[in-house]
Amino acid sequence: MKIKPIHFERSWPYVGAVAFVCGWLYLTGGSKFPSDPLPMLAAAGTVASVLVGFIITAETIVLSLTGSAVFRKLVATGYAAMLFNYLHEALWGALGFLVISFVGFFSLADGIAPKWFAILFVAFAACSILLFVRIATILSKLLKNAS
Amino acid sequence: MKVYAYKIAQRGPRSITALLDWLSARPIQNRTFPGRSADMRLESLEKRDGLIMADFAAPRLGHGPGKMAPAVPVSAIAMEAGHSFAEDTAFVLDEATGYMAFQYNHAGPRMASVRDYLFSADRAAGMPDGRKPENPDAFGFGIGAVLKPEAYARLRRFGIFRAVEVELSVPGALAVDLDEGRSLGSVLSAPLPKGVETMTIKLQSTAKKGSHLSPEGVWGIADDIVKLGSAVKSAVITGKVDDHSRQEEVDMVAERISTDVRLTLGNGMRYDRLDRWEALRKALVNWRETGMLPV
Repeated sequence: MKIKPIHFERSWPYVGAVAFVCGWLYLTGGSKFPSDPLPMLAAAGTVASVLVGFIITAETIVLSLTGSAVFRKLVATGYAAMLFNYLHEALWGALGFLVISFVGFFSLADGIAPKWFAILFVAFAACSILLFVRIATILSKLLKNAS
Repeated sequence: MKVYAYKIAQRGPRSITALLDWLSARPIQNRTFPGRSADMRLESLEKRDGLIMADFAAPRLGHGPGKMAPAVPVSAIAMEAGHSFAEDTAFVLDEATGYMAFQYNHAGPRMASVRDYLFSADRAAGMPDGRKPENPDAFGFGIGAVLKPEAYARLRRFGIFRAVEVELSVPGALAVDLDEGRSLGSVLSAPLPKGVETMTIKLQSTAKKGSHLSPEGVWGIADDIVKLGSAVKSAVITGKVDDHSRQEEVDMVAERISTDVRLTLGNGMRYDRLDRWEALRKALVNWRETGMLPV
């Protein structure tokens, strides 16, 4: 069955994240994770906070465009719902990354990350970044059309 | 009222008759499906002497008409809550041949909208559970304009095709794009005009003596132009019979089969549906009897 552009656009961040985790496990066996992950988890929490902040700002920008001809066209054609879905997915992905970073930071008291945590962390990191890339690309196109 | 000739071709398992019967059996509020830029519905259906007479309606959005008199300024027409101005367009279809006479209503549903509406309704009839079809191409109908027989004959006489120039209206994103699986990114990559923009494409052979365009390619483009119907603003094919003859042009928009009919405005300054159907029926019968419609 031929994959339609809409299906590709909906799924590529998730497929990309799974592929990244599989590739990371295949190449390193999951061993390439810092022996003391706490500094990295603290930095990851900061990165995730920036992503969440950016996405919430982006939602505000989108709301300010609701009166524009381009946005009205997206509403009329049913694409506005898809735009909001992508924004929400990116927001939940970044929040998930933030939560797992904080949980890891406070719960890995001995400073050693079990393998399942490392896999989960890498998966959330890849997924949230790819979801962010997708919405950032779409938003830049939307702004270009609205200007 | 302007009337154009079209020919319909079935894409999926349902005939146009079966689809229109399915639609007309539903309550009027359940006949609404997406057209090109707005929802529309089958308003009325009748069958007589092998002809299907249909009328499609769409709400008139945005600024509506008012009323005035020589000594009275323009004022609003009172509307009840939930009502809107409406525009309707009719066609009369010959079931046996697939030819139809289609009313041109500038403010109402046009052929592209009716085609998209029939696609949406056909999909709903085929997928009643609302699932997305695996192959959307198996739904709807191909509807193409019909050219005058002389235009076809002149095109066929052309041994050498020199140029094809087509001007198309580009409506930007459409509701059917979502159904057909176009991504949001690709919709935003293309220009999203507020209304309609036009795009001109010109294919021309080189200036070198004896050079020409491939006849198969030109005939393919000619078929596509006919299928695009009112989206084509102008389409001119230039060619000649042989190297020694003069170059000629065939305008595929001006050469479309059409006719003008005079109707009397009825109640509410509108053309009555039965009058429109009768005018369309007469136009179709006339084209058929004068051999205008290729067999």
